[in-house]
Order: sequence, then structure tokens, then C-alpha cells
Amino acid sequence: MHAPSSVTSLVDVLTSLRERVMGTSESVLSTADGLLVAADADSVQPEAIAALAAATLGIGARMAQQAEAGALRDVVIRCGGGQIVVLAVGDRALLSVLGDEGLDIAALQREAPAIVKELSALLAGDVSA
Amino acid sequence: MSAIEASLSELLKTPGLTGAALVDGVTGLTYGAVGDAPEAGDGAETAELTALITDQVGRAAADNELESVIVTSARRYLVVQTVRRTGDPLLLVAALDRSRTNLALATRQLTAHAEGLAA
Amino acid sequence: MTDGPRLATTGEGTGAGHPPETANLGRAQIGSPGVPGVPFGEPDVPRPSPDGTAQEAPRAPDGQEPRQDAPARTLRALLLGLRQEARSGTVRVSGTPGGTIHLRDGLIVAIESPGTPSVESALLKSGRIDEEGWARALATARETGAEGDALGATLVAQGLVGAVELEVLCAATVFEGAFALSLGRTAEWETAEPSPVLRCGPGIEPRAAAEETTRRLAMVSRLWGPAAELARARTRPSSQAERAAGRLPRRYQSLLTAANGRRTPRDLAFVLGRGLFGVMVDLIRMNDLELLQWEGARPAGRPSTAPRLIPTEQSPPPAPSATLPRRVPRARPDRLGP
Repeated sequence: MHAPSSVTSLVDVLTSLRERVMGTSESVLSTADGLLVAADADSVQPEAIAALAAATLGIGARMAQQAEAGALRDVVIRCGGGQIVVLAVGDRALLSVLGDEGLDIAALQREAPAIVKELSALLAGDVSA
Repeated sequence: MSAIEASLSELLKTPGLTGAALVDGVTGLTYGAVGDAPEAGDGAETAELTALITDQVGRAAADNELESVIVTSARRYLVVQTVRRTGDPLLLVAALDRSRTNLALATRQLTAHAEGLAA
Repeated sequence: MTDGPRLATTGEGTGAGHPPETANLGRAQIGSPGVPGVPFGEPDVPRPSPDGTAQEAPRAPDGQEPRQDAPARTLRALLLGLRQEARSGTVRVSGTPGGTIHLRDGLIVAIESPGTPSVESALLKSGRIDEEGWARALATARETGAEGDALGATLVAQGLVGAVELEVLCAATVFEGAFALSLGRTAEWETAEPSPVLRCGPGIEPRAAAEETTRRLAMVSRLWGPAAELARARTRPSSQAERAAGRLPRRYQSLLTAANGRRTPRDLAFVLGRGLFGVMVDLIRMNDLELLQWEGARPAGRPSTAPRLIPTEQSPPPAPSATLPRRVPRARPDRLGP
């Protein structure tokens, strides 16, 4: 017995990121082929982020392959006024975390396994639908 | 000597000035002090007093930004000059001996000094 | 404390009783897991050592020889010890938030932390220096080999910021960093060689940083409630705030513009390029002026005792029961007397 993944619950997890990882401003959950699933957004266009996330992780994976560096874990984009981290959620989804220049990347890397697990569990409802 | 102390030391040339300090207008932190520092009061209290005045009477001014506060007592003036800058306001605080100072001259010098800091 | 094999001491070691002038920290890991939740500014609590013998409290810097073999048990004790020995180096603190403390001759010249903007961040975000100017200064500093400790001098030399102003900002950021660290849980720390950091001025005594941190925590506690709670609270303008717009100091206006209900005081600090404690102080004052509303339950604090100072255009003056006296500042005019 399953319940369809509730968009509200996904947004709850995304919103909780702002509590768990200092410096998080917004986050976007998207599919591996660039479609928006859910977002806790304020100023960015979630659809645009979703599209770019797929491209970002794709290029990151190819770079990791070229460098023979093992499996890609995440891509960190550092800018003067902020940072964006893109990581995979299971096989088919991506999480983009947008933050200011004080984003606590170490905390994000600590929290990532739990967050990925929570999101994956909610998304698993889709598969059996 | 730090740049802050060097800058404040210039003020000791002002006739009648007994002590001076550079204080954060928001947090009350004293960044530097010269002369008889206790004369210039407690930084945190000065900042709180200035903020109280800003909040209460600031709206009477055209653009709501307090410029200075002068507290007069029997023997001393305490002049609090706001240093306007891009960041949080700084307060240039000076204690002046009434018997040895010309208040108008001293406040002009303090204003000029404050503008120099903000440049 | 033990020096790692890569330690390089500059200056003369003149024998027993004379610590080297500018000894680097080396790579020895000396931090046993610190006491969780002990803020930067709280007094040290002696604990028995693992073998059961009671250890004395860290000694005050009054010239006593530091115990070379006793690992520091709190961050504060560590820094006081390093000050005694005039060490230069980097203390990396892990925690939530963690941070990096930069020491030169035992004085704190910078603290970097996710909890409050760095000096670079403050200069850029506040608009004091633009990105191109910063990039040029950085390039110049690198060319002249002055990156790191002399970057500050380069910024001043290029006229991008005043010497006093930069020194003020660097000092302020050390205290903001100490405060930010004290709000979180520091798990453990390790020491390392000095690493380049933007700095200006002689640096701050660890004791002064600790005392100021204690003062700040007490102040927030007195005026609001636990500082750690305020740090997590999210706020937005109240309805009165819109009516008051245009009659407020500029920095209150910019806080109101940035407060969107999603941002904590720490987030607002990063948006505006200001320090965490400075933002908190302003928010407390603005809350007293009834300019703010809070998301979720307002953290436990005193009820507002501020009279309505911002006139509303529509409603009649508030009932007398709303105009309780404002808290009186502690300025004591008699201190100016003879």
C-alpha cells in the first residue's frame, strides 16, 4: 500500500533544509532530465534551476569520468555573492541548494545522506504509482 | 600604533579635549581610545543613548540621520559625532574640559575629523 | 603543547622561560572533543583528566609557564594558552557553525564562519567596494606577493577603503565571529600553520573577545531571550512598518526591505554585508518600535514595553495602557562630573 508522493511533504523537506543547513536560501528538486518536481524558492525561477541542474550534474559527471576520479558526489558553484550545490537524489532526481557566500557546505555534506533518504522515500511513491 | 589610534591621537591636539574614543554606533564596541579614556564614557552606553535618541527624535530630521549629540555638564562637554559611512555608523566620542575649550571650534574639528574617516 | 615536526620558529629561542616570539602552530592536533555547547565567552570549567587526577584550571596570563603537556579543554583555554605563547597559526573549529580562527602572535586577526559575513563579504555586499575593484586589488596583491596578510594594506594603498575603516571592519568581524561561534555547538578543533587571510590592525586579545562575547550574549538575553533562538527566528515587516516607511533611519529601512519572512538575522547579515550581532541589536530595537512580525511563535521574551513612537495616520492615539515607559538607558550623567 502506498500513498502518492505529496508535493507538500517534499516542500516540507526542502523547507527544512533552511533550518538544517546554515546559509541555505532556496532549494529545488528536479528530475534528471531537467523538469521541476518541487521547490522552496523565493527569488529564483525554479524551472530554470531545474533545467540547469541536470546540465550541471551531467557535465560534472563527465568531468569526473575524464579525470578518472570515481563517482561524482556533488558540484559546488562558488560565486562572489553566493554558492549553489547540486547533488543527485537517487538515480532519477537532483537537488539544487542555493545559498549565500556563508553557506555551510560542511553541514550540507553531513546532512545530505539524511535529506537524500527522506526525499527518495517520498519520491518512491511515484515509482509504484 | 594602529591606524585607529593614530587617527584618534590627532584629536588630542584640540584644545581642552581630554579623551576620545571611536565606538560602534550599533554594537557599542570601542575600537580605540586615546587620552583619558574613561572621560569619553562607556562605549556601549553611549551607543545605546545615541540609538535611543535616533529612534525617538530622528524622524524630526529631514532624512532621519542623527548627526551629533552634545551632553553638557558643569565641567565637561561630551560630544558624540556620528561618522557616516557605507557600513554601520561609527561614533566619534570626545570629552572636552569646559574651562579650556571652545565648543564651536571643537565640534567643527570633530565634524571634519569624522568626515575624514568616512572618506 | 607539542610542536609538529614541521614547526618553524622565527625569532630566537633564548632558553627556558622565553617562549619563541612568533612560533607557528605546526600540524599537531591538540583538540580533544571540546565541551559541546560551551560558548566562546564562558568561563572554563576544570575537569578531571582521563587518568583521574584533578587538573588545575587554565592559568591566567600572568607570566606563569604554560603546561606543555596539558591539552586545552575548551576553545577559550586553547586561545588563552596560544596567546601566552604568542603563537601564529590557524585554529579550525568544527561545529554548527564551525569556523576558522586566525592568530598572529597569539592575537586574533580574523575569524571566518558561516555564522557571519567575512570582511571581504562585508566590503562587497555593503557596496563599499565593487567586484571589479576587489578583483584588481587581489590581482595586485598576488603579483607583489602580498596576498594574505598584506592584502589589507593593498586595499588601502589602492584607495578602495580607508585605513581606519578597514581596521574597524576587521576588528568588528573578529568579535562578530566569536559571537557567531558562541551560538553554535563547537565539536572539536585542530590547529595548523598560518593561512592567508585578509587582516588589518594588530589583532584582538582572546580575553577581550571572550569578555565581549559574554557581554553580547547577556545583552540579548536581557532584551529578548536566548541569543541562539533569536539567531534562528524569521521576521518580516509589520503593518505599522509600511506606514513608518520614509521616517526611519536608513539601516532600519534596509533591514525592513530585506526581511522577507524566510531570512534569519544571520541571513539578513549576509544579504546586507553587516555583522550578526549588529543586525540582532537593530532587530531588537525595531521590534520594540513594533516594526516587525515574527514567523511562527515569537521566541520567549519580554512583552514589548515600548510606547508607539511611529504615528499611525488613521487610528486615534493608543489607549494609555499601551504607553508603558520605555526601558531607561544606563547612561549616568554624573560620570561626566568632577
